[in-house]
Amino acid sequence: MILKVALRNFAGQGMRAFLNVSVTALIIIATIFSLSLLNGFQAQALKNLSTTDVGGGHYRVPGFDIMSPTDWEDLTQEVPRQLSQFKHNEKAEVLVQQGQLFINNRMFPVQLRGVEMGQQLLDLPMDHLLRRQQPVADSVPIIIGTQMSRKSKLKVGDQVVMKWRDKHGAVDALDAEVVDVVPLVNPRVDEGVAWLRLDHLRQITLRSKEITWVVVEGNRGKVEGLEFIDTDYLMRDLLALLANDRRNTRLIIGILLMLAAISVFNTQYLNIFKRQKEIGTLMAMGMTPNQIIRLFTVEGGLAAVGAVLMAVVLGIPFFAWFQISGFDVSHLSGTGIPVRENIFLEFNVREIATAVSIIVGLMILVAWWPVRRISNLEPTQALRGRGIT
Amino acid sequence: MLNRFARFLVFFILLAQSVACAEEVDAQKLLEEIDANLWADTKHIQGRLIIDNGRRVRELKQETWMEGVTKSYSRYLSPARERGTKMLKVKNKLWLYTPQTDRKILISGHLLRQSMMGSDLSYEDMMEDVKVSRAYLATFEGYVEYEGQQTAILTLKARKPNSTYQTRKIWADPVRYVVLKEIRFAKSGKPLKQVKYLDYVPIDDRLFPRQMVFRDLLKTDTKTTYAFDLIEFGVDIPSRYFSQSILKR
Amino acid sequence: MIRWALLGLIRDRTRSLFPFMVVTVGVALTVALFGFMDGIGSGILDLTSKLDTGHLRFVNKPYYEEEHLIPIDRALAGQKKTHAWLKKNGDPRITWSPRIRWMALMDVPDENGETKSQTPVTGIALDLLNPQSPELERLDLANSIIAGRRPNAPKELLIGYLLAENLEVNLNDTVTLLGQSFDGGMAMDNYKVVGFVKFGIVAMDQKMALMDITGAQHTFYMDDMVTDWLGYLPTSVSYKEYPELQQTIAEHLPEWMQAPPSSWASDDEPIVLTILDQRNLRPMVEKFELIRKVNVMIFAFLMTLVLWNAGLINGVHRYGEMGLRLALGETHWELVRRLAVEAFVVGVAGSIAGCLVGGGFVYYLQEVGVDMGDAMAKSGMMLSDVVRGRLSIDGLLWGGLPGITASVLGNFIASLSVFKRSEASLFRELEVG
Repeated sequence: MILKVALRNFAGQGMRAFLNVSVTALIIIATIFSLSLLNGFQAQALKNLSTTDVGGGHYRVPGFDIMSPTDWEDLTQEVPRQLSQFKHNEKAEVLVQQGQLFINNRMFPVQLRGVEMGQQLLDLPMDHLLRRQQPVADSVPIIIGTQMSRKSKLKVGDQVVMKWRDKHGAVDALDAEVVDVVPLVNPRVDEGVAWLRLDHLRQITLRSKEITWVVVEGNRGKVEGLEFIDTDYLMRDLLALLANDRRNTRLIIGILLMLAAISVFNTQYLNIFKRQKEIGTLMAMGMTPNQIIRLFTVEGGLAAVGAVLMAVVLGIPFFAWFQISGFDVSHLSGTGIPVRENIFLEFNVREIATAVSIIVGLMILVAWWPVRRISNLEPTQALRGRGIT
Repeated sequence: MLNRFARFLVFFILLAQSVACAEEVDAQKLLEEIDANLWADTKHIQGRLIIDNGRRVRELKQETWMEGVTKSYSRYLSPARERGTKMLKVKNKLWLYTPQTDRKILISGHLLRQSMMGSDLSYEDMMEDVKVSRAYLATFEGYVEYEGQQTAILTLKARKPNSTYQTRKIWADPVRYVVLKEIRFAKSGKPLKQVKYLDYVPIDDRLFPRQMVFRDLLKTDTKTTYAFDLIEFGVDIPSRYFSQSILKR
Repeated sequence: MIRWALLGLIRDRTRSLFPFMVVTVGVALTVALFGFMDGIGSGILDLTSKLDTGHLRFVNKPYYEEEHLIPIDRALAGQKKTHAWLKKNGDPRITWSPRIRWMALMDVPDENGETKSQTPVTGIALDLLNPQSPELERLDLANSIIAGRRPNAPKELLIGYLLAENLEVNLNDTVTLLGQSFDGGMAMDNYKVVGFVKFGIVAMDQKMALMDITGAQHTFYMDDMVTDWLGYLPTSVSYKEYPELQQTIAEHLPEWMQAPPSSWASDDEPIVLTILDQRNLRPMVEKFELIRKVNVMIFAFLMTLVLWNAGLINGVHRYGEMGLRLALGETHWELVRRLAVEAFVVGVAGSIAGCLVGGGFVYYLQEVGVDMGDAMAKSGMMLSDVVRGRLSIDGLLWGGLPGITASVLGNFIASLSVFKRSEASLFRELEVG
């Protein structure tokens, strides 16, 4: 009964109800949008980090630290059989060595990163290297990322002297030919990195079968001589950054939500002023204050329900449209964030349910809050419109 | 008739041999002679390291004592702020000492590849502790005229895989047993460093260059000159010079 | 008439207080959101500017071109002259801080003075000794030093806490730095480690050290020289102004280059950069700007709806009064006009109050910041993700204007209904209110 009356009253509010509903609906859409966009962003960033570098974790030579290049030469070893027998889509062998490029007679220290060519675990645009199957002769084919290209001013086809040391410490140098400049979505494998075929790097450094780490799908248990480094550790900087973003988003949503709450609160507050006579009449007709509170709360809450419905009606086409092209974040390519391609929304049902419940809950709360005073309203006073001042 | 032919044959063979002798140089022997010329049981040198990095030139005065090829001790005399800086090399270890810090710092491993005092020489270049003739196998490549002088070109291949430069080429004077120029190559054959030996003077019964000029061929405009003002061979060097205890104020 | 309206507003709480409060809160929220987003935007730049790029950077071109090598020999001489020139030719709001970026081998001795551990480190030398130095606050040293203290002598060093861990350095240990001096020679010096710093970025915590600029100048023989001049502007100056400020300085440069300080090398050629020119920040900032605009527009739109609704409700609430006033002989238009004036007064008052509240909040964020205390952000870090805001006229306008217009508009639309209803029906509503 209450629901029916509430519905009728609610519909009777016309424009005012519509405004409240639209505001709340828009906020629900905005909330879902920003949370899902962040999810999409996070998924993309983590995916990119994972597909270009981290995979499902690394089996590394103990003590290896990417930030201590002087130790790289000492921290390699032959790939254990346990790992080398994995299929191409289960592991990628990587060898990292120090090198120097001499660009216009200027020294440019680089990380020489040799990656197994057959591997299918990492998604790296190494097609041009893949074709260079023959062993290194006069020049070493390398691929660099776009950022590295910008910084070093190297372009496709350029030949520069590359210097390195072999396993025994002997100096070696050859021309390196830039066979491709590729967009590497992950700046960590772009800046200061020259990509080589693993067989080439092994050949020129005399490090047959050696690796610095092996990227794997996931922890495969103990491997003799190597330690497993999990993805959380390898991605810790990015995870911290994302946590920060999430927090900022929540704060913005919070501010939005407060705005909607004010709207509903204001409506309800004035409602009970304006409709004192109605309240008095209802009381006189035998409704208990609690029932009336419920009536008004339901009425207010209907705005939330209406908002959810409206959010569904408006939101679904909007989200569908958005998913066609996604959000362009190419601007991030030069920063430390491993995302370049368009971002798509990623909906997390639980998260959305939680967010919507919080919004609806809050709307009901602010619908109820101003109406509480009805409980100590004198019906006679109310009938005369003087119950609440 | 047969006799005449036999005599002719003998003459021809002899001639051919003698011509071959003049043409062919025993590369390894030449290298050993060169080493013998440069190295002595002990050496005392006063010299200047003139470092030109293309923008400015610095001159460091130093004094060095060497025993064989494995031990060397240098101290810097000027400029004022390098004065008292000491460098001790024993086998493959190098210690640096400065009076300001009163500390000896061990430079080892990959750090030895860094430039010494901002020069074109790395610590490693400076620390070569094996005679070239021991570390390399020489082959004779032929004669060329170099700076108006007939020189033998020798290609040196490292005997061990851990020699920094696996190949070197030297322009040597086969008569005086001295090197005039040297190029150090990467394994691939790319030239990396060039050393010129200038101004040979007789000291005791040897010939020793008064200047060595180093260039890093991957850079332009830089050069490092090592000028020797005083060279003494066979001097007595106190044993403490090659002990770490020398590394103090 | 406004006085009359004001009096009415003050006396009748329902017709003034609630609309006023709604406008206030709405405007405050918008201003807060704007300032907060602005703060996030500046925050992106902040982190980079503090340690790396400044808001403006005055640097020798040959140095900048080989920056990846930290070519200390390309530092810019004439520190005092340069500072004086920058002060004279740059905007007075810019604070110029001299810095030296350096690179050295850090050697840690054991009890016998023999090398115990060593590693290459990079560092920054900046004004740490002067207690009034703005750098102290800039790097939040009071909080980011997690053990030990701030240096109070030139040859004292702060090092990343992970660096300390890796090299097994204890507080008050003496370490030796071995690097290259300005003229390419060997630089070797002892430093006392007086504190461990948490930068909050692993790479820095592992490889970074800070010293006073006079220490670096002595150690690397860089008397009167620095590698960078970083210019900092107060938070209230938007990064959009940076290029303009850069331009002003750049315009004066050629004149100075006619007669440069005698200590400069012949190929020394200083350039001015803004933070946007470096580390590829410009496109990122532009995109963020777009996102922020969209966000604020959505928000302003929502607030307009809310205020309109509020205006509508308040208008409806006063139908009875309208009836009475019409009955007393006011014309419809007169009534609508008066109500609009009232709404305007409420809108202005609410907007001012909202700007004050929201602005106050943003100002607090700007000056103090709120530590959100995430797991990662805990315990003082130099580059902590403390939420910051930025107070600007723009933000106040974005909040204030919809605050005024929306409430006037809402009220106006509600009051238009006086034309639709008869006086009698309006009058009847009086009985309620």
